[in-house]
Amino acid sequence: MFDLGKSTAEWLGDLRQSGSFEDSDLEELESHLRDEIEQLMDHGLSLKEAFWIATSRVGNREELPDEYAKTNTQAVWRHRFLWMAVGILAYLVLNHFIWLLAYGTTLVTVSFGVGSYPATIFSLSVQVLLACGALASAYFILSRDRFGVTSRFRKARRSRPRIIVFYAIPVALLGILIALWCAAGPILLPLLADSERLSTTWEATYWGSQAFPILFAVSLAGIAFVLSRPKNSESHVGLER
Amino acid sequence: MTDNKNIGISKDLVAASATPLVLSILGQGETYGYLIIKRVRELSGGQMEWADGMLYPVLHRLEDRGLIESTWRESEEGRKRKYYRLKDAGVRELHVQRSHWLLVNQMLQKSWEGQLCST
Repeated sequence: MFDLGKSTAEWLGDLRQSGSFEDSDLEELESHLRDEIEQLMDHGLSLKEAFWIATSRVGNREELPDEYAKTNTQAVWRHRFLWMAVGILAYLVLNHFIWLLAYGTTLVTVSFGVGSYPATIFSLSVQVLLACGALASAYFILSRDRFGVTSRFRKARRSRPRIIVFYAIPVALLGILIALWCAAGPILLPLLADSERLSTTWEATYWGSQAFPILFAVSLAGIAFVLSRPKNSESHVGLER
Repeated sequence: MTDNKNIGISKDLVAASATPLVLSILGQGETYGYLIIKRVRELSGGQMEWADGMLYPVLHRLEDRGLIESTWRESEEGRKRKYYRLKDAGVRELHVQRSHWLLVNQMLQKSWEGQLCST
């Protein structure tokens, strides 16, 4: 049996995730949808048929949020701010987690009588593995588009210059940073290890925990940049002049 | 708003005519979104059809510009609806738009008459 209340709530929920709507906008669209459904059912359609036709008449999920975003700049910024806040929080949590991880792994390695430099390298490799796992799960979650993020990325890939500016450059920067760290580590660390500064577990932990916060800060900045870029104003899909 | 719905009418023209159309429909009295869409469909004889949801951003922009105002009310069936009504500034804007569109219409008419005579 078709449940109108549930289907309507799902449809509204999808729209809400785009962050372009105020609550009153959604109420208005719901009221419109119900008028349309009633009208269609008067013409002999079943409730389920009427629902599908009515939702497709109201507009597709890609264009409708864009049209509303042009008017609801406040709602759009609230949504972006939420994303930024989530990013900052995630960064803080990750930062502490990575510090603990670096401390734990170096402590264990050093207790086996390994020097601080190999301990740092071991700690870093554990972190790289975990980071890869985290990125893979992030990709998996986003690819299922549960947060409406991938549709934004898809739009960003519409034209070649956008791919370069919003996607390729942050990724390339990230790659360069990783490469620099990998190159700098073996050169810098033995020099420092010779001095007294890097002789303790604490120092090894410090170096081991510095790389990832930087990398995560850069990748988060890249994501925030992509999400907060102005909407594509070239598309005249709606009733916007 | 897809091309196959508005056969032959360019997107730019649809967009340009949205404001005067909404204003003139509201000029006939207070109404709500669903009825405005229906009215547009009737007026165009089905030639111009808007994706329903696209109307509301237009209404909200007109409201932001102070041309129209809205109130939430309950219909007889107990459904909440947002009703829109022209404000004085909206009536003035409607007159201005009307004169502009009539001018364009007259210009086109005259130029076509000339073409018909010469051929």
